[in-house]
Amino acid sequence: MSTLTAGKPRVSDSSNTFDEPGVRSPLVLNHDSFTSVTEDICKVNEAPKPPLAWYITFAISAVLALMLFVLVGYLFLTGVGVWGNNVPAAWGFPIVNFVFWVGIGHAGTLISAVLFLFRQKWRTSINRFSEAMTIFAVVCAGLYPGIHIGRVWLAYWLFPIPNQMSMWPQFRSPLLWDVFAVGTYFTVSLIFWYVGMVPDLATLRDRTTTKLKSVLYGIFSLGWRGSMRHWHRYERCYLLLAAMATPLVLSVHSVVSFDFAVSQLPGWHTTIFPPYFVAGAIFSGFGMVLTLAIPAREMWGLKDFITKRHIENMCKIVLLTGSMVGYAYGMEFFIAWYSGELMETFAFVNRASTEPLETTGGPIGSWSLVMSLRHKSSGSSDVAGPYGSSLSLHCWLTSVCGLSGLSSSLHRWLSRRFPVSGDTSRRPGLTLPCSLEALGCS
Amino acid sequence: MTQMTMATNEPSQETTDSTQQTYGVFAEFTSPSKIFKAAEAVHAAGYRWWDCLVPFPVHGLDRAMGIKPTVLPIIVFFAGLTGTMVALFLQIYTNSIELPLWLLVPVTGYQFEVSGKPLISAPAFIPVAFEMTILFACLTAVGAMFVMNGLPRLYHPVFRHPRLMRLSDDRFFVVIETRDPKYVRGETEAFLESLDPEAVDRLEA
Repeated sequence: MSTLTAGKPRVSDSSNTFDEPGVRSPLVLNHDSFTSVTEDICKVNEAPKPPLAWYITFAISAVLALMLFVLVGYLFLTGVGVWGNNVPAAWGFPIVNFVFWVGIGHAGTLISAVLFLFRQKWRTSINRFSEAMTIFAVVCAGLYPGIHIGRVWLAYWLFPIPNQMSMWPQFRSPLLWDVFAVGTYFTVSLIFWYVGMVPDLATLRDRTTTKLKSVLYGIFSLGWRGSMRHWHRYERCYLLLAAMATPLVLSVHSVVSFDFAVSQLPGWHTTIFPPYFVAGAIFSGFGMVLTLAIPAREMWGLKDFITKRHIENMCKIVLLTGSMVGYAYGMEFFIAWYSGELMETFAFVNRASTEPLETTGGPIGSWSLVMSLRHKSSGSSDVAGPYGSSLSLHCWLTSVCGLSGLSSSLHRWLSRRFPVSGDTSRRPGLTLPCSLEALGCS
Repeated sequence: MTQMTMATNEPSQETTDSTQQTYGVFAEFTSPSKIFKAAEAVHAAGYRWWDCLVPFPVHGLDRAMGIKPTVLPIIVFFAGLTGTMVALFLQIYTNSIELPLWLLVPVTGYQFEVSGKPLISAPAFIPVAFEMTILFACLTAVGAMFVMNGLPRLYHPVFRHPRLMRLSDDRFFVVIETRDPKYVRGETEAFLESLDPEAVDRLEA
């Protein structure tokens, strides 16, 4: 089935980045029939074998996952001291990872729920895989509270299960709020993802050529037959899910930030944390969506669906949320000074003088996107190549911003192992641009 | 077509009337605007047991078909309310009062005293109550939607016709069931033919 209309030249994937009042720019390029879209989307799934690059990257991931199991086994046998956690009240490494992964997940829900409520139609090109990203990110996040508790065989104490000791969780603790917030978030993300996928599974079912696939897709599509009476309830259900997932996604990272804000530690005990964490989550999450979307559109030839306009829209959100994170940083420092609170002032001065890039990296990472946006606005296609690659670089930067917590842990570990005498404020190469997660271990 | 053949052995109808074995008739259209007009015509003709099968929701088609708004939001509202109540009960029962409750075994709460704060400290109980509200409401929204739609249903007559394989791709169908009181063999087919479809055919049960 041809995806091109005879006589019409192929347009480039940046041809829809114009903004003309009264003219709606196309969301899908080079396709003028429903079936050509179905063909091109389904061929990703229906390819008999994945490309070689997939095997290579899967092998690398599999090795890393195997390493995870070995290290988690080591952790269980030895104790949380292997992370350097030597204070009973501090989480250190595991909470950094927990916050990072929950935050990554937020972009998926933002795309599927908030952009749906705002009628942003471009979201449909990227929402499914962003939601998948959310689910895997939340799975990764959920790993850390489970394994950090020291005695993993007592992990069920997190849940209110009636037991012979009449022992209940302490519901006034933010850690319990976390259990419920993350549990709900995972469940809702999963059903949101699946409900959105049911009609698509029906499409795949109707295109299958083998019996096994037909039966499996048939079961998972639940017998969806595209009835308008079903679509009517389905759309209402989807709208309700979006309307409930929107406050949910904001609440989840707010609750995560309560882990810090409800404590009385100087530097953490601040009211700015909930919005600040949510903005940071969306910032790093969109960085991750871009990191996944740019290779995916390249490898599977999806440039007609995930166009430069989609990338640009995502960059704008990164820019916005990055600026919000930058503002939150500034405000934190301002309040630390303005409050006159000695402990808090010390905490921030100490952080700023030992890890100077931490406070500037996030905003720099996002503002550097301005450059690529300006590139685009010239509109010519000859900058498309450098534009794309510079964007990838920026995306990587923004992801690194999300990884800050990890880098900061690494930094602390390195500085413990290899103490630098004298001026500790100059350690290029050890510090990476950082964002909110740095708080988790500072 | 290998579509769901595992479930095709329905109990055979011993009736000899051929209309009993025919599920319905369908008309195939190629664009949303065509099915929109067709749906309006079928609705105006007074049919009740009929449906439109479309690859994606055609906005406004539900109104053209005369579908009443669903009660789903009302169900979801009460589910959310249930979630709030369950969460508040759970927290107050387990953390604020010591009252044995017999389920299968005696279950007793434990009065946590934390820095002299009130035992029923409502602000601290809000986050969990909120999350449980969302959880109950979302699970109910999805569950009720599928149940009201009669799904999962792994076999349906529309899966048997080769032309209807495209209902999830790029074709739009109007299906009128034979059980409709207005269905008259031959006349309904002619009526569908008059709507300018690509094809009109019968669907075996």
